[in-house]
Amino acid sequence: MIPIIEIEGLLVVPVQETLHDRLALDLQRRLGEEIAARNPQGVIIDVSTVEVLDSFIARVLDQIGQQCLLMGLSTVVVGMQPAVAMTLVEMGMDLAFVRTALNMDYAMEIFKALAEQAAEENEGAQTLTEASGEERSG
Amino acid sequence: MGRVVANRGGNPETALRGKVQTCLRLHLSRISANLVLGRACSRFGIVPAHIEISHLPRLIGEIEPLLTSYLSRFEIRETLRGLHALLNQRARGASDDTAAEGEQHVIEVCAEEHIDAARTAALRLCREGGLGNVDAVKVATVVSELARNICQYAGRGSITLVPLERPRPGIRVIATDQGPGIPHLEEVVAGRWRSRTGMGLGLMGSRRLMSKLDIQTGHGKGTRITAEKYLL
Repeated sequence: MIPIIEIEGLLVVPVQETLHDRLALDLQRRLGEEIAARNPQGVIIDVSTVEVLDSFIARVLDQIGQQCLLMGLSTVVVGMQPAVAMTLVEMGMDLAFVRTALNMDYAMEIFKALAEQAAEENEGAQTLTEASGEERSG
Repeated sequence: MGRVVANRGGNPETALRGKVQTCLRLHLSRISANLVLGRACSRFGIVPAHIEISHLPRLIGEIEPLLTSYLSRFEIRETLRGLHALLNQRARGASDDTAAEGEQHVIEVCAEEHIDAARTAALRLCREGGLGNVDAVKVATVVSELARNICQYAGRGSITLVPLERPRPGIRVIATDQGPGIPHLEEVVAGRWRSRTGMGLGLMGSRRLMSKLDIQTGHGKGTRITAEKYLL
């Protein structure tokens, strides 16, 4: 089973090398439950040890991103290996619903920036007394 | 007359120099490749045009430190891998005229766990065969796609991996099953077909990742997909 760890209000998923299909779908389901239970600020999926990432797994990652987005969270995929990135590009795969970061530090920065942005928007909304339902979807 | 025939076949030593140069030129310019080879040969008093298979291990040992002034560690590793593949292929003593293939590896696929087994075997074979890391990952990704299609649509089948030595070094992937065949093959291959499970993308993507991909399928007759990726 793929672990889901909570660090500084974020859910971190370190994906092991052998990510087979049932595990991926299981992760998608459990992540939904964990999000509802723990109320995190975002999700980080670490794929730095994944050597082969095919279209199915890529699609699961993207669906996880979409699912999180619908729940109001951003997902950052971290540490994709260069060969994996090149393969996905050549296949024409597109990860539309996740953000990506080179490493954990950069992923943390993304969430910090998102939090600040959200705080600013909150202030702005208060001063304008404008009920704006628009969410920044990264 | 006899000499003419011999020449037509090509001098094996000259051919070997060409192969070594091709390996070196993976990451080097022609001039640098010649320079490195020339220097390595001169250490042992070998004329580059007459490299023999028995010289190759010593030469590779000599080439490695020479490469450090030109290439990154990663590039050196890739280059050496190619040279070792050349050495292994020659050491098996096969002649140049016939196509040569390594031992077949057949992986039965009928459950999801087998997809991973096929993927891992493909990675290992590609690396042993001298493919660079990026190409090895591409082939393993294709194996993963094909194995998954077998699981998902046919239930069971097999993946066969064949290292290729001649005429072009590389690897062949054969995916066979007795499933229902691929419907709408023309649309799938033209990239117009998108299934909900995304098979079209997987198959089209696989074609882009390989040097060659051939699909034989018929309604109720099963499917046989043969794909090849070449080292150079």
